[in-house]
Amino acid sequence: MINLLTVFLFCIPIILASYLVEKKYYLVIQILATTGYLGYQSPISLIILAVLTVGNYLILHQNNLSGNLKLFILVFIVFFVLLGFKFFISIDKNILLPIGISYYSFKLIHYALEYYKGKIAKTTFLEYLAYFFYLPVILIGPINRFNSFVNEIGKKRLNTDYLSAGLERILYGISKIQILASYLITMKLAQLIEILPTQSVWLKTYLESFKFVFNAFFMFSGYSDVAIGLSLLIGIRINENFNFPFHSTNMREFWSRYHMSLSEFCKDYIYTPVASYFRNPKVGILLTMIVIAVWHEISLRYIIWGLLQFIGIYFSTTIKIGNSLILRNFCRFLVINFFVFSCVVISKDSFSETINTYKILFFIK
Amino acid sequence: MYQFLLKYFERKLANLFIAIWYIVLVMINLYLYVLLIDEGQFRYLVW
Repeated sequence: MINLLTVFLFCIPIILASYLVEKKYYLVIQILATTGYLGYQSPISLIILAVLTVGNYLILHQNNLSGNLKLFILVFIVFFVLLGFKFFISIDKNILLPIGISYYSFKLIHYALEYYKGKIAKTTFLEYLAYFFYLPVILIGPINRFNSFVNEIGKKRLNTDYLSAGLERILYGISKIQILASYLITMKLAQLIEILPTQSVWLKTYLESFKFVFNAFFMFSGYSDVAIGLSLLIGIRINENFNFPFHSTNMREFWSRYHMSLSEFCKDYIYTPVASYFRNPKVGILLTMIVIAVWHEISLRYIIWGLLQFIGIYFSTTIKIGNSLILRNFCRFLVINFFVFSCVVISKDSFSETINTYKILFFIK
Repeated sequence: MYQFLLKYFERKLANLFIAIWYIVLVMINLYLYVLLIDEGQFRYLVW
């Protein structure tokens, strides 16, 4: 279990260093604080991430190998490590994932691909390490980009606007985690579901599904707010992760506003190349959603979930709605319910439970 | 939220409202932190 208080504690030296010392020393302190945090929480995670980071750098800066071979080796290693962990965790839930490995792998792939394309500006090993060992985003994202991170470090200075915005963001993030997710949804809504009469099976099942989705959303969105807030306190602006996704009027828009850093990553590195190779955007969307699903967990239920998201996006690209306010609100209602219904697949442990839940939700005897 | 308050109130009043709002949020969070730890419900998402 990860405690936010420990993260805050290890962030204090980073925040102080960002205002008090030069960039070079700041980077060293940031890397040391993040290393200290990882070592304190999970030494094995520190070893795995350190080996991946240094290995990535050494392979990319190896002059004897061709660019294609370097990229192939790196993507293969990262996928092998990530998929290995995801595969074993889908078999045995007691296996502990290294801290932040899912986000870390994407950042490694991002760096390797950008380096290969020649889009990475001349950088030092210290900046490279600082990008990967950046405490606010190491646990649960957002997946920040290397070039913007280096730019932000370059212009970093004491900024009272960032300071107040950061504190406000952290407060809202913690409120989302504690008040909305942990208290109102996990505790109070669960109590409400328990006291509902046994005849209201449909309502109970619906509220259970609703609880699963919104608990995960507020937890995740709250963590992202804390990460963005901490980063602002340090003086670094990082990308947003959520932009009111449940205000979307179709699933395509939903996925451009939900977990934005992941969907933007997948858009750049999976959707665009695949869609242009096959000259068919639908193949791109299908593969993107499958990758997002498998990234969460390698299991059939997540693949089905990914396919359901693809179906949702596919229909939203074929159906056009007007500007009527009533119609737009009706579409918002449909999007929320489509997402809630599709997440039933991942909320249940077995397929028989999933089928039973769908039978209840769709009134099938 | 502060920008929103500034639209309807003068600066001093907006400052007061926003300060009260932050204090209330902090107090609720502190209360829930203690409550949820006691209830054994306090949990964090790990990915």
